[in-house]
Amino acid sequence: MAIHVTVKLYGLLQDIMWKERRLRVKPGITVKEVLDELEVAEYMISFLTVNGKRVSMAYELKDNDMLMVFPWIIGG
Amino acid sequence: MKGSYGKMLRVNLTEHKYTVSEIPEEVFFKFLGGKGLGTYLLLKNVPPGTEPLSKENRLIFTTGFAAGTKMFGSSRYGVFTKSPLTGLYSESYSGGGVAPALHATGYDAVILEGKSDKPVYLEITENGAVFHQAEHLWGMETYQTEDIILSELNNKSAQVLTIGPAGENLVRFACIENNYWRSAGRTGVGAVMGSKKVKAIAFHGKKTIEPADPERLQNLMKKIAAGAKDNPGVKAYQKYGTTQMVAIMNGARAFPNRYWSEAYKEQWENISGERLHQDFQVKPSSCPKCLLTCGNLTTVTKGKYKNLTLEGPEYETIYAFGGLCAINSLEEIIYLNDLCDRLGMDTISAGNLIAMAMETQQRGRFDTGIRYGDTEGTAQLLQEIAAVKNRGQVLSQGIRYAAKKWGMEDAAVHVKGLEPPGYDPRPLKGMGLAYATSTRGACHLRATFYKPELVGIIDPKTIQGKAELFIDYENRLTIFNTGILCVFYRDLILWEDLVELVAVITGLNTDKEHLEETANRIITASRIFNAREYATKSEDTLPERLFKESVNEGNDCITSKELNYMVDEYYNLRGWDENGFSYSLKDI
Repeated sequence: MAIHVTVKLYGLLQDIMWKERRLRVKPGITVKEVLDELEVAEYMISFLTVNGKRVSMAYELKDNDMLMVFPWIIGG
Repeated sequence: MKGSYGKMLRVNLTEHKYTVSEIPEEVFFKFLGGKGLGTYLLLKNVPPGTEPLSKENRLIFTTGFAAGTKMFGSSRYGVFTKSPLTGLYSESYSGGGVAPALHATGYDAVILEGKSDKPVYLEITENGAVFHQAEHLWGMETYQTEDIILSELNNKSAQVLTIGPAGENLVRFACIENNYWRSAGRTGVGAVMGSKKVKAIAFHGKKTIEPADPERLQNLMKKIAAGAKDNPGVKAYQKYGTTQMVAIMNGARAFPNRYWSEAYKEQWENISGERLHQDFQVKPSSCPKCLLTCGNLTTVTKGKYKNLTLEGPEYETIYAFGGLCAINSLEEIIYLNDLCDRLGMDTISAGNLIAMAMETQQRGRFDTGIRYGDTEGTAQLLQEIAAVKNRGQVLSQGIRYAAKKWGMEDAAVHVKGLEPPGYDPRPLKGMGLAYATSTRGACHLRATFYKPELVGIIDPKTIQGKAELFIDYENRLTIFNTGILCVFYRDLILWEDLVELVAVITGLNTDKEHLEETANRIITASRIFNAREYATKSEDTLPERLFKESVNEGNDCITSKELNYMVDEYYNLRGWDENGFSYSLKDI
């Protein structure tokens, strides 16, 4: 049975791709698998959070999770 | 050594005279230029116990070894003095167009001494200093001052730096502004300039220096440009500048909010770089010779502040007013940013002080008459500070004084009297080390260590071994500041290229180890300046409040034990004793 997750992109990722998408995915899918499918290149990312907590690429998503993807930075 | 003139201009404001003196080559071998030269001159010229706002203090302007070259990011000058805010070592840097003009006058350093009877502005050229009377400018805001001086001088290559009313009135955190919106922002260098009755300084000249190996320099620049070409970090800078950090710092739950009681702002998307681009007209803007184009020339297109234009707002201004003061809209932050620029005040210090006033009211410690989120109240308070009137009489003296006056010493957040920038050290513990050990007070720019902590180069929670990586960054960026190169190039110029850069400009036979030694010498020198003012290990710490209060539902905290561990490791690796002292004065 499929689950739904929301993916939000920030910074340059918004410009290259999009701001926010709600996706229907298979349960237990990892963050990496979702990003691969969306063609978000790993080198563009500095860190990720799910529901406000930092996660690794191997994190397995659950129903209604909110994944936020923060782009590579050089500082401020 | 190439990359320097070996000349310094001393301007005697008491007698309206100037002298040109030689700087021995030995000084450049040991200190390179920029921060190195400024620190050396500070140690030599400002004895311990000097009152910062007295005529005995010096205000020292330097450029670095890269100033006369075409190198990217080299359009920066440095200001060095004894800070009226902290009573300690003060360094501040600014971009914009001044550095090339200062360099063209043929001096590696310009030192202001004494105090003028009446307000003046200086015109510095290859022929020395001209003293212009500035009574007609005294009291004027910064933008207008720049415009008038440039029209009076009528010289296309002239560049001007100036103070605003805040500097004239000796507000302890007054800044120096140039090109309207560029600031030598922190530690109150504007107040020192005001204390000498110098309203502004204009520079113009035609002198140049050839790099030691122009062809190798050109090849190096090509290499750096190629590395920048498809770099997503560079593209992010070019579009968003520092505003990209609002999303990132909130995403990382390290965005100081409501005067340091929280590390996350619910409505952060309202004040983000993404929102700036969506709701405002934003054009990229750049310092001369730079490919990062990190400036946002922003115009408000509708509403109360329609047509207001400025370069900004920078991340630090957004954190200070939007985070600490809980002001929720970008246009209001832009309005306050503009006010600070006109009055000539540091937005980080101003935002921190006003937020403290808000917290004071909230806790019922004193009736400061201002609450969180009050934009007009903040604007009013900024005016009072600049004029040193009413509540401004307290706040203009800086955070230590204001906290004591209002019974907020247990809640005030600062290190050595300087308030931190927008990186909470409880989730990012390396920033705790940075704030505690920076000689000018809480500062993120000595090493910009939030970057490796945020992207996972090192775990933000790690304590052991943190000092070692921190020192690597701090050394490299100290050499940047001898250049003076913009630290935003830090991921594009690593050690190998930095060594090459120093070599091809100065002709020095150098390597990484030599540059690390040089950086250590410069940092030690700045520490000796502080030690002479009786600063001790007890000030290399964080405010009690940050040890006591956690953030992010208790998930993020830093203990004094953890901090002391990192600080002790830092002292040890730098070759200092357990009290953070060094006795290698013979180097100076």
